[in-house]
Amino acid sequence: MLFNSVKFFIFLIPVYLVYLRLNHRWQNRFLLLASYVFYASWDWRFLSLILIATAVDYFCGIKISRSNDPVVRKRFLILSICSGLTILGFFKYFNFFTTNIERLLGVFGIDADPFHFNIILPVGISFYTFQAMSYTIDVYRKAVKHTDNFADFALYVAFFPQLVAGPIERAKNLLPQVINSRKFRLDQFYEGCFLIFWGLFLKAVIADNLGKLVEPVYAVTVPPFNGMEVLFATYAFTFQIYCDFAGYSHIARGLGKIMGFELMVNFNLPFFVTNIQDYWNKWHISLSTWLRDYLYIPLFSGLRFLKGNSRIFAALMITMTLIGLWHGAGWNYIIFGVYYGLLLCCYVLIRVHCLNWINPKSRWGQALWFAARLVFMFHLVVIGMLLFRSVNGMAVAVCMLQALFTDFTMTENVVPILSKLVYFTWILLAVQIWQYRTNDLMAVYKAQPMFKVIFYAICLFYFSVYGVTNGNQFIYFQF
Amino acid sequence: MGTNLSISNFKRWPWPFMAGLLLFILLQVGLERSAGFWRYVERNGRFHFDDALRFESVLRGIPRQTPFKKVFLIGTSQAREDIDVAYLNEQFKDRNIRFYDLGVIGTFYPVDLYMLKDRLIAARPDAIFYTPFVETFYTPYKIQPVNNLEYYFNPNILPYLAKHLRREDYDKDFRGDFLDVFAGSFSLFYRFRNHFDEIFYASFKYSLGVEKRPLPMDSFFTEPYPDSYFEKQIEKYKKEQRYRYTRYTDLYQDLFDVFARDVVAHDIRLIVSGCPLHPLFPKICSPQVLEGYDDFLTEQSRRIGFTFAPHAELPPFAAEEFNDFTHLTRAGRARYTRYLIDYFERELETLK
Repeated sequence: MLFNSVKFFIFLIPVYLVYLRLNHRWQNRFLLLASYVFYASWDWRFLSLILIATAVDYFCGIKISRSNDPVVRKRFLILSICSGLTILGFFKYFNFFTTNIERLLGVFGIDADPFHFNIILPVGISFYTFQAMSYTIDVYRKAVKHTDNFADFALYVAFFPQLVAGPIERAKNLLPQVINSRKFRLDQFYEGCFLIFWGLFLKAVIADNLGKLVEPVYAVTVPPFNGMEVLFATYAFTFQIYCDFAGYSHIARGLGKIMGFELMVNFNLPFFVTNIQDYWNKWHISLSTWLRDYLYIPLFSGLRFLKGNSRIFAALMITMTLIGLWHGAGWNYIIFGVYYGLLLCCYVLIRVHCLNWINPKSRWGQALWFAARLVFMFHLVVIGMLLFRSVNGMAVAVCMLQALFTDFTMTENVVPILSKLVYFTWILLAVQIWQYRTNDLMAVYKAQPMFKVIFYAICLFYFSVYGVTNGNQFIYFQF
Repeated sequence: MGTNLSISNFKRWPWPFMAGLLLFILLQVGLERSAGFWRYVERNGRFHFDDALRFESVLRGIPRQTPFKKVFLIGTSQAREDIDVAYLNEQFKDRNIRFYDLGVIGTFYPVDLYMLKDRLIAARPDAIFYTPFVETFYTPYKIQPVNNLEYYFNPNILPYLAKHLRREDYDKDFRGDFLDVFAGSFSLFYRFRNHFDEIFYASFKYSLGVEKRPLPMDSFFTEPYPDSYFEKQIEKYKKEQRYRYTRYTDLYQDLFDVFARDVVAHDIRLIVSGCPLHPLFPKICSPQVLEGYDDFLTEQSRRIGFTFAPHAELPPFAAEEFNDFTHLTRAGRARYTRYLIDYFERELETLK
């Protein structure tokens, strides 16, 4: 049941109408039931995984909270983390690791025959396991109070708008909203409707149409590649993945809002950044902050034996590699993480000295320097996206990268890719420039009525002609 | 749940959204009624894929009251491609008759014919020249990009579908379309989205000078396919038995019957004719099917009172005059058009 399908709206409307009629206690129970039905529509068998994760973390949360013995507290924290990582590790990484161990042993002439399971990856497993784990960690850190109500906690883990592709919520933010009664506010409802509309536009109009440009270029597995085609297809993929994922996050936030929940912002104009650190502060914020708080900071503290920058580098490289691995069990994802780790390390090295060398005084000079940094950053992101998208193996990715820097031949495919890219992304860029200039993500929502009328008419035109209505899956569902 | 139904923010979302929706609808209504828009669509459309829009444009451009007689040429891609309508019009200019090219690339099933019946009659033709192909009656209904149910949906067809089809046919062939039909009835852009998506983009491309606008005639096949094509096709058709009696045949015959009766009842001269077939065509279509086609139309013409010219009445065409089993080369097209000029001279005499 995808957000961009008719089936979802057939599910949502009655759920929402019933939800509005209930009192708080029954609202939570009803939302929990609806969330399980929503998840079961993919594969009911995997509901058991959510139930296990929920039960274990609920139990551990209570045990941690009620005990003053640090050993007991730690024991239950480890139990919670291990159970979450075991579920994730088995369903997502088991085959990847066994295959690679087999290959590694093969290098040394050892013919191993490890187990391989025909495992179906449960939708959204990385999202809800991380969300459930964050609860026990926060209870352990005494950052949140545990809850005794199992249904409330189960709803926190399985809340359907963000269950399968985030944002990965924190107990500190979402759990109080589940526990305390919510108030229906018309302005919040409208904001939610706007976010759902804009999210659907990003997904069904921009992402799905850009996907049609990307697919043929990345389906080629044998060199030679044309550098210009690869470049524009990767631009298209960069915007596709943004619109796909940000679109989902907008819809999730919008659905949350109409039900009285405030979910966290997951993307904050990530293409308007001038350094790589900023990029990760604005792209998939819920994941990057999760890893910052629960992995990077503890790692940094733990690596006391390292001195100076090496301590930062080690913590950064481990964190970013795991970010890569979080996305999927494939070398392209790991290399994607390593790439960003290296970029962040470089940034740590140059930020203090090198970036201060260039400091234009005039207004135009500053604007040009800013624009140059934006463009440069965007291209660093594009290279990362090329690695991310290269599911046909790293050899292919290397050939594509090589073509990117060496082959500038114009082919008959280049102009159609570029013109369609412009044709589909101009609205996004116009909206984002405006959001950036006003420093307000809801700038369109708050704009002058006349502007909004034209904006909606243009969006409806694009929806009616270009909207992909067959419910294409969101890219991040596979993670 | 506590409520705060303050309407202080009503201007934030519902009013602008509704105004945007209204603007969008008004824009479509305006465009739908503008001849310039349809000329633009025809000019930027692709010859094969966007034929439904060319059809729509031609149909909308037909004046109701005219000093000349109107003859509509309707049917499948053969009606569209195998007749040189410009030449016909030139020949009949002095005789005060004008032909309109309303053939549609694709099969143009009686389902589509039924949907369009009222609009065709409303355009007040003096005669309709209809060239159904064997496939028109002897294949299951297939949603095609060019003559799609959703463009011209008429709910009066539902009892006929219920009468002739089984639940699974109904689900398979029509159900998905009904949703689109519903949405399309509110929006011109949605209804023709499979065409507009490329047309708007194409005009953007042409205006930038990125690509040269193709000439419509470039898309006609003019050279015959090689012999190997025919051999492969004969094998393929034999295997899949493409032309055969199905439940849909009864539906199509029923719908054609309604169409023919309605047209004749409106004092419109109806001429139904077979169309040129490649000498190898009998190898891909059983004699029973060809006979069934002729028998049905002969019987209907007798009962309803329209003219029917079976395949046998057409002059024989040589293999070199076809590029595939049913479509003519430039030379074949010229010969068929010349034949039609003589034929219309006789048949349309009473219209003069």
